[in-house]
Amino acid sequence: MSQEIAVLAEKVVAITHESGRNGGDILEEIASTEGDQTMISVISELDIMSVAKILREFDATIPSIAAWLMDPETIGNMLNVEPSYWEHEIQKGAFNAQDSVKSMLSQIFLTQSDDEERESAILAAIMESETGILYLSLPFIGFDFDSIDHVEEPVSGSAEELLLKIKSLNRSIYEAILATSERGDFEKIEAILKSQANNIRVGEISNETDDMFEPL
Amino acid sequence: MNLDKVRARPFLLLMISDAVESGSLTQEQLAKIESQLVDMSLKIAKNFFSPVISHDLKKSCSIVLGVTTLGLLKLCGGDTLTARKILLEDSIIICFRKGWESVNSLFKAHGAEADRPTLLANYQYSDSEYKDISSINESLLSEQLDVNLLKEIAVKFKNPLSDMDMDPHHTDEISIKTDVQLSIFEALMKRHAIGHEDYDDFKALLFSYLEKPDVFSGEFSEVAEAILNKFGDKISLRIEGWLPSIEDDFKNNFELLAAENSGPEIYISIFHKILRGNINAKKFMHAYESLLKPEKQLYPNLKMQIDVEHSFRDLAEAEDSYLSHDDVLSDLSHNITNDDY
Repeated sequence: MSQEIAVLAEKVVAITHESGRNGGDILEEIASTEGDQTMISVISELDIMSVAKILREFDATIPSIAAWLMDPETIGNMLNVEPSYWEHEIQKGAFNAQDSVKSMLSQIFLTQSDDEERESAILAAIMESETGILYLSLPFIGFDFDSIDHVEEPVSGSAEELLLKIKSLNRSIYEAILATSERGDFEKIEAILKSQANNIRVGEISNETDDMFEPL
Repeated sequence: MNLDKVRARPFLLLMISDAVESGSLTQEQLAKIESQLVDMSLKIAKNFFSPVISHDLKKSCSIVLGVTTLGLLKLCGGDTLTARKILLEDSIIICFRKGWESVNSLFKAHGAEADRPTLLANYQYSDSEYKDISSINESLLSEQLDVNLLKEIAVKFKNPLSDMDMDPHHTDEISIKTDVQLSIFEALMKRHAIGHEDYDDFKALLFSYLEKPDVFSGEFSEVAEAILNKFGDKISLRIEGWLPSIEDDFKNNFELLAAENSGPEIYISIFHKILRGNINAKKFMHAYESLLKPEKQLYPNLKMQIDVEHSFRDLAEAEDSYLSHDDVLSDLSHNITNDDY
């Protein structure tokens, strides 16, 4: 890693710490002045929580350029830890994990010129994680699958468009999403995703604390 | 002397730093304690808050400090030698678990729907202050137990005469106390075999109480005791505390009665006073109808409420007598056959 990349990455992390949105803007500035390749190198130096914080601030209407250029594996890792931000948002109020995931996935799958090879790779990377299928299914719990109109073009940015996009990329993942979201309990899945993300974030904790919540 | 108060630091940290200074706690042991405190804080953060928000991490550390200090104080009973022994020979996790017992009792008292992160936040203790964490814990628990007790009393004494707001999530001591008062009053009426429509006997009883306060006090205590005997210690003790003010309230209300008014008026006005105006109109229709004509003007609000009740009842009756489905159909067919199509 060159000195220049390290300095830029440090700057992005510091700015992201204050605001994820500003972190995204600075990445865009780097891409326009130093080129996409430099920005990709900078992203690869960022910690995954910062990447998640940046992308959460963007959506399908204003996508982050970072979402377009990140490699599939980083996107998969980022989505694994992203639910750690939910609890804080829930406590602030007016937050819905379903909408949040939908907006994240739309930003990733619906805003770029169709590069199916890359999108399939991202889908595969998400499925690498044990909870990947739960993350992909969350937006569709309670969704009326019978209402999908296969003839008309779906409304841009709708859950339907996202679902049909996934279907076109990988039929078997689509089937799995259908099965999971029809049977799944929203609160349980939300809790699993949060807890999985928190575990990754917190890392290994010594087993001495295993019984800390047991009555003495 | 409370060392923690004088030195304005949590008891746990004082014990640790004293042990380090005196050399009885080695750097290795200290490092272990620190890492266990950190691990426990992370676990609190990921179970109850967001481990990615620095504010939440800080909060989690303060909670671990509070709960662990509480536990250590419980285990050693405030004795510094015992505390040091526990730190050296046992583990800091034991202290946390002891404190968590109290947290758990608080959770249980609040029920399954409780907002646990908010409850936990009460145990925050920063490293440069003094807090009587044991008392804080005790008052948190006793406050909630009292709320639960009041809810229990509210359910047992719910009275249809009262129209006070009885939201089960919002317990209002005054309205619960009023329901107890009603129940004592009804027991007094029963003792004299006076029904809710025996207005003249009712009036006579109240004026006899007014004339002979000692008789009233005697009967009041007997009736109240009979009610208390029906319940367990906690409920009866809580109700007992209200009895003097309930008795006073009765006596004050008796003083205000107007001897020249009719039995029904006396009946309505005494319940009106006990319930501070929140009477359930449905239960007082008969008494209102029995009022002397000029007395009715004393209760314009009650009349309004009764009128509303009447209109509801008329509406329900009107629905019953409405044309049946068949009648409507035959009417329609009748019209059709008369048409010239």
